[in-house]
Amino acid sequence: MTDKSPLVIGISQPRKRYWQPRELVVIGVFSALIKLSSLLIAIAGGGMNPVTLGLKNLVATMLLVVLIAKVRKPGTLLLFVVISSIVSALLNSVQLFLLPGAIIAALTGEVVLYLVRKHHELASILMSIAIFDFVSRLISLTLSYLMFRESMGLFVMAAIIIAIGYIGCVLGLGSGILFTKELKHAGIIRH
Amino acid sequence: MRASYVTNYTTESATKTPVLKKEFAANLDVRAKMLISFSVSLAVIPLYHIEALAILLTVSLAYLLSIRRFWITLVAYITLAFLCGLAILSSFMVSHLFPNMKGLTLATFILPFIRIAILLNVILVMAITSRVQGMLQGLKSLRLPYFIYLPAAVMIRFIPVFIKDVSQIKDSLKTKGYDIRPVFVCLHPFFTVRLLFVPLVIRALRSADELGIAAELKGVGLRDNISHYRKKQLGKSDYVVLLLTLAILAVAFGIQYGFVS
Amino acid sequence: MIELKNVTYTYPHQSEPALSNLSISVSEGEIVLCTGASGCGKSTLINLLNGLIPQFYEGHLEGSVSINGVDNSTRRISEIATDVGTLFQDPEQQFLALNVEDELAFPHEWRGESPTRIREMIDGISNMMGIKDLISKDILHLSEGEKQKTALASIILLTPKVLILDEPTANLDPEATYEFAVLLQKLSSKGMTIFVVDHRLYWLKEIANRLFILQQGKLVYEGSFHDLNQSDAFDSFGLRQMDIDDPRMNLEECSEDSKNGLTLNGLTFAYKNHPPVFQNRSFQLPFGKVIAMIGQNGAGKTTFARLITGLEKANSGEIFIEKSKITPTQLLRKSSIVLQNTDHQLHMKTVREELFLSANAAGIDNAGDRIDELLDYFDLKDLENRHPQSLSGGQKQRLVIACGIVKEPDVLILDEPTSGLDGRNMRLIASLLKKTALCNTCVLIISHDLELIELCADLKLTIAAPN
Repeated sequence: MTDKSPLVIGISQPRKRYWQPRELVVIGVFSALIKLSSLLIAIAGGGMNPVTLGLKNLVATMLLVVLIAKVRKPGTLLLFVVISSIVSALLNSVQLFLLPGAIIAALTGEVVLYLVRKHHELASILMSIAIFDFVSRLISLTLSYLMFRESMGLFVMAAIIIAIGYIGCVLGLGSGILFTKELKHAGIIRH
Repeated sequence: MRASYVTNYTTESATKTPVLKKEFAANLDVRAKMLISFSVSLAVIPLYHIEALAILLTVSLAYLLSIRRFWITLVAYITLAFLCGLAILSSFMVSHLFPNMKGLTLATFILPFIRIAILLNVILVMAITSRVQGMLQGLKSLRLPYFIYLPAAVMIRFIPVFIKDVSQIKDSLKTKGYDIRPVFVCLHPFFTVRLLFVPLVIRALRSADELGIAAELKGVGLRDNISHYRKKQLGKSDYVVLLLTLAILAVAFGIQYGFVS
Repeated sequence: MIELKNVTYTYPHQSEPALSNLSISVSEGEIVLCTGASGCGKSTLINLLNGLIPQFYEGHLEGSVSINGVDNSTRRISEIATDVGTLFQDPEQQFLALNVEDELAFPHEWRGESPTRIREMIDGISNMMGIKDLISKDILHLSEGEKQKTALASIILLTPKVLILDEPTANLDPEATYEFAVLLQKLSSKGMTIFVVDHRLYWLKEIANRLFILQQGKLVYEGSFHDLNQSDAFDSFGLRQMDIDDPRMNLEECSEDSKNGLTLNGLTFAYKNHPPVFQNRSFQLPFGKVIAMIGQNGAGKTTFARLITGLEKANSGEIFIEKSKITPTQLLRKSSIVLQNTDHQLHMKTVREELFLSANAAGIDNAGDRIDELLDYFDLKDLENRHPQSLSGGQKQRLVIACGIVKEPDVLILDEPTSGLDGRNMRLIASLLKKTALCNTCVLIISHDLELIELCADLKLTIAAPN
């Protein structure tokens, strides 16, 4: 059957990588969950209304807190942003256009986490996500201005949408802490 | 028996999605479609000349109509028109509150909408004609490093799984007496999160642990030189469509900067 | 091939060891079964063999574990994996690809094998496992048996010397289970050592060379099936039956002359653009009975369950409860469905809150009293303040059934309620279902578990595949 197949792993010593497959799988699974949750809320909530907009961002931030609390490794936020953007780009390449902004926002969050140097504390994780969310929104505002520069009415509308989203993100930080604690209590997150 | 639930959901959803094999856009390589929509999205930002944008709008609309999903196209355009209405209202309020700001002219009002409509056309073609398997193939052909490819492949792999999970959770809630509809979501947003997302997150965490272990046990991520079992090259039609896109964008910029009359 | 010497292992932050002074030896080409009640240490043993303990799950380990003559402590998990292949309970959770061929190919792509070599290997394994027709199929569209074969093929393609199977038949119907047993025999005859961990015993009786029984982390029996006393297996070790006569043949069919119950007249249903699943069919489901729904995969058992819970609306036909005609919306209020995956049905922070969630939606008066009653009835009283997700498999299953019953439904449908449960928990659930039916409820079970059907089903409802 497969008698000839060489057992490569047994012959050469694999090198130790920074990212273990299990960490990458968690990041991939959560990226799918975060992407899908936005879609689900938009459908279940009946499209674009302030509650749906806020809730979408609340859930995304809450899940991001859980992801980073689970993986707890520098670079998780950045990797999450990159792979979400790449997969989104396979359906909607416009996302690639947003990738540099998302990377800048994620890098800012990572730098904060590096400066605090406490990857294992929930407070540091929250701070980095809060900064990531804030910088992301600033970049979104800038892009909205570029897109709608001829019509300030449209820009104001986009700004309101972004602001409502940001309120959702802030509430998501709180929900994220509570949810992470609950998952620890249930024995699902062990850190 | 769980498998039977899956079968039913998938066959049911399959019936709702018409087969797209005959339409040429469905047969284009995912990389070609990515390049088209990425180049168009980059181009619409600097373009401000109404005729240049109108050309892009016409061609992109033809591209969208070629996949013959008229109902989705109509819904998307009605939504866009609704946003347009909101924008008029918003512009009116802004000019009322800040009289010093410039008033609404046809050109300043319509240009952002043309940009959005162009993006909508190219995005809809990608979203409607892409299948999960095709996305995975496309992802592989991008030759990304291990630490990006593995989570991205897992992300694509889990999207249909979570869609199936959501259906099961919603059905279970429905028999319990909780029907997750827009009014319910808006009246009880936090309760909705608990009902829908707690089971999903727990499933995600458990699945991630199990799949991570399985991947490790199968030797994923051990080496750098990954071979490619299926090699997919761009076809003739991909190159033709890409060249055509470049030509149309060149004409649009030519009109804006006066090279083409 | 497998050698455990005086192994004692304790999980982090635990005072009691999960495995205690365990010594086991398994030779090349043997098929052995390891069983025992839930929490006896079976999963810990699997993780020791494939190296996940102590490299992934930390803790305190004494003694030695060797595979193919090499001590696991000298190798990384990935190196141990060249000798040991592990198939977990839910094969779907192990797939990284969405297509059978890609799933078989990807571990070899990661090893840098040439496409031609991978093609040869896939051809070889698909012939051997009889999965040639599945190669181009979407993994999510496979039946449970086909998923199991695909997952096993992917592992065998890595040429392990030892194959570990964790509850391999939990999701298989009796026919697929038999096919699986034949396949294992074939692999063992080629020299592969097979270590099966399972609660179901009947399918292994004829093929396993030896049996290990664990109890609270200790080896309490080692020997052949034939030397094991059935009453010991039942009473002392909490196991399932070793011999089962297929009860499906002997059960009486639901008759159309039942006086009270759920009646479906002239039922026609088809999914959009598909041939009808039911065409002008009539069914009568009596109250006060446990009914086993029988039928091949794809016969329409799930569709039937969805129709009688009101989740799906029939194209034509009428549904009556005790001669009163009811609509799908009314059916939703009068029925409960318990799905196989308990994780999908638990939302709250405590067991008590979970029951309140179901009671509140059903508008139950004095829900507190009713919930106390159910907590006692389902033996969950001591766990009422525990987080539902921290419960064991059997406890979760009892909780989701209690949530289904709290609204006092006329019809209760359960989808594989005992998959992966040990004998004690399975018998407990069987007796609870019988008691529930006695409260004038129609209990309908969709299950491949022959022991459960034998223990509690009064009638069968055969759903024939559409022509």
